[in-house]
Amino acid sequence: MNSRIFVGMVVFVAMVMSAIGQAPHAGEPEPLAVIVSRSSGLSELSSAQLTRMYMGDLVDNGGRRLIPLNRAITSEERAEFDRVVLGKSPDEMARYWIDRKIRGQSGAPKAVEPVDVYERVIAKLDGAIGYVRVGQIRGDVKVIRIDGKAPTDRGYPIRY
Amino acid sequence: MKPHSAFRSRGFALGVAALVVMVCGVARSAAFAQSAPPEAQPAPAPGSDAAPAPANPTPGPAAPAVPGGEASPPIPPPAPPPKATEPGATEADAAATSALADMAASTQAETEAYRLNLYGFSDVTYTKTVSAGSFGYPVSSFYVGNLNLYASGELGDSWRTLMEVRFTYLPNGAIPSAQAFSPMPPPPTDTAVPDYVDLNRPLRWGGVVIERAYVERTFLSWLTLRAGQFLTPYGIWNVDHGSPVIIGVYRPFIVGDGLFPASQTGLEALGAGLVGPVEIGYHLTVSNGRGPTDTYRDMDGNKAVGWRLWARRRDADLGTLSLGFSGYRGKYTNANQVTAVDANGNFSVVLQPTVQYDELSLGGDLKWERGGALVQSEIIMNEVAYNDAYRPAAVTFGGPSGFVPDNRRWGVYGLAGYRFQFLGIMPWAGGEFYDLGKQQSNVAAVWGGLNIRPTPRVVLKVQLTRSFWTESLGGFSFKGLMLADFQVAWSF
Repeated sequence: MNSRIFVGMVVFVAMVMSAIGQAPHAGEPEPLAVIVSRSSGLSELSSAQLTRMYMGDLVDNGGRRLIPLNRAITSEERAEFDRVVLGKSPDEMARYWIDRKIRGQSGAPKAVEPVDVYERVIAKLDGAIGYVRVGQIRGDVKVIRIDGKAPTDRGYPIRY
Repeated sequence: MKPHSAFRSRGFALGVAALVVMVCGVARSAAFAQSAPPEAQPAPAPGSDAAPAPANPTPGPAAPAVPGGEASPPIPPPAPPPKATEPGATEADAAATSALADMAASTQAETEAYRLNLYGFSDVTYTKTVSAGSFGYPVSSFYVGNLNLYASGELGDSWRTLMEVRFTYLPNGAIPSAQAFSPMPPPPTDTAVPDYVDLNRPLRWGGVVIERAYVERTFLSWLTLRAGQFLTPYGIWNVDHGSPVIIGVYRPFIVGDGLFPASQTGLEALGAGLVGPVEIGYHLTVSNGRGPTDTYRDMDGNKAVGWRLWARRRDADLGTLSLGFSGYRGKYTNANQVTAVDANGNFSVVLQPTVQYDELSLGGDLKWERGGALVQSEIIMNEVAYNDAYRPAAVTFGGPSGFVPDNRRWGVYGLAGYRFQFLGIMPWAGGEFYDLGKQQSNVAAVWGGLNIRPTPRVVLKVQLTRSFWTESLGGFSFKGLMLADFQVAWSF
């Protein structure tokens, strides 16, 4: 076999393998990873807990209150998280938070940007929870499972 | 001619590069796969400025105030920033610390200054009286209906306060409710007084209604204790009473007609949590109950108790379904306060009841939302049993005089609408039926209109209302009314 053809095939296979490695489930939408401080004992949440928390209601974990933190209202991740997890568009969410305040309830979770600062806040704040793109995960936070699934697993619920 | 060597060729270089790419890709994939907890640690993203994981962040003191599902999440004080080991880390850490400090300051009690959140809502309405019927106001009018101001504050250590007051033009021009439909009503209240800052020109003063004022302490999501005046936790639109939240211009008549007390003064315990995918919540109340002065004085020793149990299921495909069941049991007493002297010459304050009854209220509610679709309904019942010793005389029309009977009232309403993305337009329609029991004719109404939210804070409403009396009573017949309402409601 011509060595150039052989090398070309190796390159092709390598690129395919590399692509597969970077996108474990090619064809599936990109996951949003839910993160907590690396020192947190939290390792898993249900989607119902996540939804409840980001809709402004209290969720405890082992007697400690969890603190959801949002991305900026203008960020794509925030819009996608609200759409996929909370099932609402940005306009619907805006109305939802206004209505909650009129009811005398809490407002939206605090928003922090940029993502670098966002993750650092989560890393430092006991009980804080956030969401980032998989490619943005820093070393001082850890990813938790949602409904028993990691972002790399098939059936992971937070994809967009 | 050099011998051909694969090790020197461009192809070889590409091959090596390809293998490196492949190995890196697989390694990255493996690292990512391991990032899921609990065992593994996430791999830093390529090119990221990932700092080493900080030492165990210093937990803050007890988390400050929060919600019973009803306040902002607590933010403990920030831990010291970790030692920077990378370019830009110092700035990012400083920003993170600053963000933490801001969040902590916004939720923690301040001992040297006060931080109060002020917000509220208001509305302006034009009511076109198409047909005043038997009891409607006959002239079309503009009016500012609600001007409600909220003040909330975090008091530290999970304590929180909320106050809501409504500013109103009343009582100017109003007739006492008990005599509003009397054939010989008293003259309207005139609050005009000389205004000493304006050359004593007449000034009509209005009033302030305290809608709610309480302090609460959250212990867990399952337990918040509240003390003060609170809206009675029943149904949907007693607590959701703000005009920007209500779909129509008015709440259904049965919601505002006192089948439950609108608010109570006393203690409330509330909480909620998840049982599997279903949220379950409760409210328990102990209060003065209902009475002419129930916000500050109980006229009998019998405290009223109330409860609400609710469940909610949020499902991406099926939407959000909420169900609630509420109850209230109490004793109403109206009494005259007199100062009595006993045989030994001792003075004491004595309450002499004039009206007294026991009451039981029950209610159920249902709400379903999916996308822009909304369906909601409430059914409410109130049962009154008088103490015969304090049963009031009845107002009768033509027949023999008598006493007010024990009575049961109940009503139900249903409403459906769909909000489109375009300008947030929601066409909606609904109807209600109200059985007033032994004393009055039953009444029904149908309503419908548009609810438009061009921005989340502004709501434009158009509503048509048609009411019917379903039967005559005692030889008298009543005519229903027909109204066309236009309202702008906004939150600020």
